[in-house]
Amino acid sequence: MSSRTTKLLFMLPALIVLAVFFVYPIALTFYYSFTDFTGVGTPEYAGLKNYDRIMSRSRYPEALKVTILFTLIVVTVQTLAGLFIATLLQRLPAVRNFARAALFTPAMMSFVIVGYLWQFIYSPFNGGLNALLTSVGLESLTRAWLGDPSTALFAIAIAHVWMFTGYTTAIFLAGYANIPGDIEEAGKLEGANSLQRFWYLELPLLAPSVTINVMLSTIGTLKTFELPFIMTKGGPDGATRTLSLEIIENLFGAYKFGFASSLSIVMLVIVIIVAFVQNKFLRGREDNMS
Amino acid sequence: MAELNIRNAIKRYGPVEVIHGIDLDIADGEFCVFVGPSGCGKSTLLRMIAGLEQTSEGQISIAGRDVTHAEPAKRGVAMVFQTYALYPHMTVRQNMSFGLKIGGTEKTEIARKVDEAARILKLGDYMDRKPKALSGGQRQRVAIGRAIVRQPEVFLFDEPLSNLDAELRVEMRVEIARLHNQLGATMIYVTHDQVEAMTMADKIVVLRDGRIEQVGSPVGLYEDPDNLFVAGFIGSPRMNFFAGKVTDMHDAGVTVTLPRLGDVAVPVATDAPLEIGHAVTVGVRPEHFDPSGEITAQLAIDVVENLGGVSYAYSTSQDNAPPVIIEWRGKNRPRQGGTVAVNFDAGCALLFDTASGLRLR
Repeated sequence: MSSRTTKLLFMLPALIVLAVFFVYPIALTFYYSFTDFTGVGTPEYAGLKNYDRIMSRSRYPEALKVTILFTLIVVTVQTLAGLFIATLLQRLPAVRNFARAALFTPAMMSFVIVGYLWQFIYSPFNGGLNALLTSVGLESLTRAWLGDPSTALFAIAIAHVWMFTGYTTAIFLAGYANIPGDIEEAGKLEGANSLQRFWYLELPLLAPSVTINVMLSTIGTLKTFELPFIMTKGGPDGATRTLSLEIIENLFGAYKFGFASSLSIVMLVIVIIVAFVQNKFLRGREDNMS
Repeated sequence: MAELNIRNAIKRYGPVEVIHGIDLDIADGEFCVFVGPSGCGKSTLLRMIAGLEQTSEGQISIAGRDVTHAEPAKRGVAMVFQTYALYPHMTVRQNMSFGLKIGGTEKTEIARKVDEAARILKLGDYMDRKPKALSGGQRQRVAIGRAIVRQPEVFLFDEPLSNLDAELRVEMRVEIARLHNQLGATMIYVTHDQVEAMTMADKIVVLRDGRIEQVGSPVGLYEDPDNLFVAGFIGSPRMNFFAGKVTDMHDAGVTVTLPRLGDVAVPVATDAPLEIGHAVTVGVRPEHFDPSGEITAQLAIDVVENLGGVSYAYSTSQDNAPPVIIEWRGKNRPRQGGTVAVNFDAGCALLFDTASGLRLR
């Protein structure tokens, strides 16, 4: 058997799995996005009607705006928080392993548990956050966090950040472990204090970890629907209605398989574009750094 | 530049003491080499001087200033690491400027110092390159340049040539020696390579298990070692040791009988108070076997290494002891598998107490 045939044979199982579970569903979704398929019966070709609907109704660009805002908040806060905690733990080796495990625990929980937990914390009556504010004399700040359109998205973003900061921290700590101890020591010998070492040496050398964290959290957050679905069902007044939530509602609520497919394709294109741009930018930064 | 004094320096990791009360003086401008086998504490001692390891007890002073617990950057030392420890995201110029930049030195002054160091180390053509675009030797030169620009009182080198290939190592060895002459700086150099130690040092400090075994000039240690460890560690190939017993005593010393050399009797000069029957070890260096020597013995040769100008003949005994190594020059070199007569002068033989390992002078 030629080496080329052997290679193909070894690749075949993976190619079959990819074709059946990845290429075929995407191709099918793409096809449905041009139909008015309802899940039963024969799909009728509808041309660009679904896409026209997405563009012409303010509801969907609005959902896209919410998704992007949610992603921006989560990625920024989660990356910065993860970096801060990892930097702190890097300097506290005695508690590093315990803290890493403890911080990672929320990421292992189900979204349902996290959703209900934070729903309780944000509850307007006897909720943990309002109780805390009242106890420290900040009663004026208490509100229905998930019922107020101006705070609902931020409230969910915080829950999301809480859930995944441990994950981000673990990736940054792995990045720290890859920085040779000699470089830190050389910095110390040259008189760099802790902050200078972080800024001039550690942060540039953490570039690969920044890339991984930003990419993973961006893609993960763009697709998210779980916490908005559990905590607010997209409300109040659409303030937390993300694109994924729209897809779920159209698919399993209204049985608009065709329309949900077109929304899915739009989301797929957005995720690919964002991932591509981020990858190009962050990889470029990594090359520049090493 | 400055002298360095260490007084009763002790290093403990929890209950484990790894450096046991080191006393050492290194003069201004001296090139001092710490040498010893792996785990002897030479790097730990260097790191204690640098401030990268806390000194548990004792005192370290540089230029008369107690720096025992001072921050690394405030000790007036610069260190060159085995792995170079260059900042991979910075260019050569940025690497060399970093310490001065964060120290708040003026830009023109930084540029002047960096350019001067680059000129000394012939790095001018590489200043805008990043470390990944440099060879091992060039990287090491950048690491040295980074140390030079800070104008430290003491330079510390932690096995700086270990990651280089043999040819480059020789080249860099010469370069560091030249740099020492040029800068006249106090330098402390850690190595396990005794060729580096012998060729570069003004003073060698031989360490074993966290203790100083002997301090002295390279030739001093080679010719007049204090104990079996130093005698065996300094010199390549290593010194031959023959177990023996004192069989006679006379005014100038004792006569020792060596079973390994066919019970040959060797008169050795010593003032040490010894008795007949005392267990001693006689040390003879491979190059001290000389056809004109007055002591003769027969040895079976099992391996001969011919290096061109010189050959080393190995004679292995049945008792798993290290082989006797004999250096041969000129013609009539021994053949593998034969027996040869070897001669040496009794004056070349060094006498050691077998039990304590100490030299008997």
